[in-house]
Amino acid sequence: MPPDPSSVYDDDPTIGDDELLYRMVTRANTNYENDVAVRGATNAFQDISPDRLDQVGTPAVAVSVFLESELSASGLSSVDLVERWGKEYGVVSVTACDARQQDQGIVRWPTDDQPAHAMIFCLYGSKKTGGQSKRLAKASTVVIAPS
Amino acid sequence: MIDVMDRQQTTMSDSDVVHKVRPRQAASGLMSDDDIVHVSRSFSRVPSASSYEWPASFETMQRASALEQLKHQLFLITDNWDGYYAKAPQTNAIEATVDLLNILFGALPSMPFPDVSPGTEGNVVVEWDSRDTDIVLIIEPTYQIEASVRLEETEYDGPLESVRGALTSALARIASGS
Repeated sequence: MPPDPSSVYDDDPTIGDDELLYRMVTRANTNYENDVAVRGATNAFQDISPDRLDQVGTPAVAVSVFLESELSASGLSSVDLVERWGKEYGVVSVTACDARQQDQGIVRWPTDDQPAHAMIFCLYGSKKTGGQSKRLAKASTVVIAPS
Repeated sequence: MIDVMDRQQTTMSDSDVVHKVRPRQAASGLMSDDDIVHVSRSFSRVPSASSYEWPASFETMQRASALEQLKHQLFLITDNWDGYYAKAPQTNAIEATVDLLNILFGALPSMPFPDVSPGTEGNVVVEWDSRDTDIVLIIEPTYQIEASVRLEETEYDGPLESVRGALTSALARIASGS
């Protein structure tokens, strides 16, 4: 069993409550109304499977996001994310405040090719509950709909 | 038609290829080989994804047909369907989901068809929403079920057994259309 997220990650106070957190989504984890993308789906905000941690190189489960302020500082935007990931991806956003209201912390986790990468992790417990994932999804808005 | 062999080929294919099932054909249940779209990827460090679409509305189908179609569609989903290394729904979770819905529809015939989606851990996510009531069931390959229920402003989270009362009330509300 991997460690509880809060034992290895700390909520970063330098990430302000109004920071936008971008999550990449496909049609498989986007909610639609009348064929219009309206928000992320519950499964867009589920933690990664513990079995996959070795592949992603993180010590505990979380939801990967990109910090809008870090992207901006590099002269990038959500459009650049989609260009990089592929047109089948879209972007939904929540604020850091939305995440913290669900007992989540946000930690910067830059990688060589993704310096704006960060993670939303549980401050309590081993992983997000279905309710926490759903409430994050309901708080999310579509920035770019997946094609 | 896409069969089990196709699914295995999809799962084992090169990581820079994206497999996408088009929605309209999936909706009619008439998927053909042409409905698999292969898209080359230029960023090898970003994982590939598989997307899927459910039929436009399971609600308009006979329940037995809808459940069969749902089962078929869940089996088509491959690893990394979200681009973040999510696991494909596992057989046990799919079977348990269909069994559970069969039981629910038998007990509550007016229950609307839920939103069903793959979870990240090989599980299946089943949801009903209304203005005052939300239900999220996460059905694990181990047959365990985690339930999250919102009844107006009150939230309940936990193993099915621990939220049984709230879940029963929520299901009754959803079934009655309130």
